[in-house]
Amino acid sequence: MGKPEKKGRALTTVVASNPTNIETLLRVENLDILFGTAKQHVVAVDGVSFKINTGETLAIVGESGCGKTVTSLSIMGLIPCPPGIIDNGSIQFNGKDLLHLKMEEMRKVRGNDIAMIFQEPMTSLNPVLTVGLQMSEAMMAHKGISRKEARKRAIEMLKLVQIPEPEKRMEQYPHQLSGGMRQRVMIGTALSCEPKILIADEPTTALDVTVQAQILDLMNDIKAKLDTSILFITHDLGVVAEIADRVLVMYAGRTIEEALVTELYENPIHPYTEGLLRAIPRLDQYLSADNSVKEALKQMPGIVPSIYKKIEGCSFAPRCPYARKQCGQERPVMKEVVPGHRAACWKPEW
Amino acid sequence: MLTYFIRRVFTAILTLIIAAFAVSMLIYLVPGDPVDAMMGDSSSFVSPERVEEIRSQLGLDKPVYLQFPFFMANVLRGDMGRTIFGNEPVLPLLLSKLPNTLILAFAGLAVAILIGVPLGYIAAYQKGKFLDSILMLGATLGISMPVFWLGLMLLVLFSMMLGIFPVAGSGFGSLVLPAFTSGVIAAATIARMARSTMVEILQEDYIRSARAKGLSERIVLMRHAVKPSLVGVVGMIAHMFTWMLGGQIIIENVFAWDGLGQLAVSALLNREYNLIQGYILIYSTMVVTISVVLDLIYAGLDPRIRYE
Ligand SMILES: Nc1ncnc2c1ncn2[C@@H]1O[C@H](COP(=O)(O)OP(=O)(O)O)[C@@H](O)[C@H]1O
Ligand SMILES: [Mg+2]
Repeated sequence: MGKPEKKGRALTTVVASNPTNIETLLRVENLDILFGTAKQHVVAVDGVSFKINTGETLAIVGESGCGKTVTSLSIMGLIPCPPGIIDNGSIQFNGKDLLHLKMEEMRKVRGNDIAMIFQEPMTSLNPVLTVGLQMSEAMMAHKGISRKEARKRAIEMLKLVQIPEPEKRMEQYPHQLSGGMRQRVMIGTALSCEPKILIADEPTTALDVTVQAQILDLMNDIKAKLDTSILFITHDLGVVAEIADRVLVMYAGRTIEEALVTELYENPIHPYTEGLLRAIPRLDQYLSADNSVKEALKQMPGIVPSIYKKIEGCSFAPRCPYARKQCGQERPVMKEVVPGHRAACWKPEW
Repeated sequence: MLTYFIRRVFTAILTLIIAAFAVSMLIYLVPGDPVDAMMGDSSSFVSPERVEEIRSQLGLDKPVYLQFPFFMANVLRGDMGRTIFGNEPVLPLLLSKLPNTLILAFAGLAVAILIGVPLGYIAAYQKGKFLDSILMLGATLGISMPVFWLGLMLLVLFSMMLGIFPVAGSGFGSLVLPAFTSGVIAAATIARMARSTMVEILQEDYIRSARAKGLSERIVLMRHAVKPSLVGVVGMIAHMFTWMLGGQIIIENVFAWDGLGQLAVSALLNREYNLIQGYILIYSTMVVTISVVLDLIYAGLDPRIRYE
């Protein structure tokens, strides 16, 4: 696994050193997503903006419930409606406005241009269909190839995601595969149509630690081999360093900080990000990432604000150790504090 | 899988033997002397020789512990005794009514499947919308509607007033109304079951995965949703089928359909113990057979069962 990683690093450098290759592939702007009715609802996503460049891996980090999954589902056009309402904002992909595409047009984007894998590998595969069929069907739907051709390519994909005995696996059913294997199958399926963007919504959260590391290795490996952009969603800032180029931190439906990974680690601006960084488990601790987040947040008293209430000021203010009067009254917007490093916080201005 | 199937057939046979034992002991539930009870008011007209003949036919002249072996040996020879009145052999009599019951059950089942399954699925897909409410209201009506009332209404409307179908008989024309009556009632139950199964499946993660692949809605539904729903739906269909096979006493009565149900009722009224025993045995055999076949179907539908 060492070799392709090196190749990957080299590739990224080439891309980074050649600015003409950098183009924005996906641009999300001012996205508001509600659940409920127009009168009574929760605001799950509140004014979220970000972009993903070609070949880049962007991580979205935040506690569970902060709106990461909803954000990624909206890119796929998979927000269940009702009760979901996309109230405002735009999602631009390759010159297309995804929020206003016709159903049939959007279907051609899903799984083809933008693919997604989910947090729950145990339940994300259909229990009564073979692995082979579930891997082939996206290619048959989008690439207009025969079942036989699709099967041949599916076997190639199983090899790509390092599943031993791919021919045998094709005939098997999901319950015959371990969680890690199933997530590999999901990844292989998602990559089968060579999407421009792969959205990975907490792909390792449901897996045990050693398998998590293997899946991360695999994703890094794939990054190196294909130049797919990745939107990597996680609640664990510790994982981010291993895979992402850039990070976006979310809190209670809002984005609060965005920077290159090394910059964010060395120079966090938002007090919430500071808290998250403190929560990264060290190797000598037997704490799962989620527990340690909770531990660290204990040092930040207060609770996540109810999303039923309209929040006037900064949503983190009630538990922020630095909060002043202004924080409870005026909402801070995302501003560039250091070049390439944006945060939604009043503190740098004091 | 094969050993599982063999084990399944073995338990099925065991079940039948237990059922046969229970049936053979049925006669001891009759208070007083069974033969006297069977004769009822007419006992004074029957010669003592005839009474003795019936006693030995029922094995009552043998000790209790020989009762069941005697009964079982006869059954295995295809001899389920004779009726008391008419002295007819029981098994051929039951078998002569069986085809009619089977025809009505299969026809009713076809109606139930064709109506119940699609409507249940459609309601699930339209969950919470107007069509769903209408369909489920219809299903609730279907479940709570008395069988005889529906049967009579159909009979009055289509046979007596419109004259489309004959009032009684056993041809195809006279099959339509009874099959429709039992089919509609079973369809209501099947539709509710199909709906709740499908509602649950449509919320599954794997349906979201299928949509995320950009599959057409037709493939998402037909391949990813319908197939996993079949285990539950087929189970309910089989349940309805066993209900129909019992002979649908009320429907057979309303439409003068000459099946097992009517025979069973008259056997009960006339205290024809041999006939009742035979009926229970035949019905048990059908039920047990269906459950074995059903297990095979389950294994075909769900790989988790197949590869256990
Ligand atoms: N189907 C739904 N119905 C109602 N509310 C929902 C639904 N999906 C998500 N939400 C709301 O959106 C918020 C964000 O959820 P989600 O994006 O799943 O969080 P996470 O960051 O853990 O992925 C949740 O707090 C929840 O209240
Ligand atoms: Mg989530």
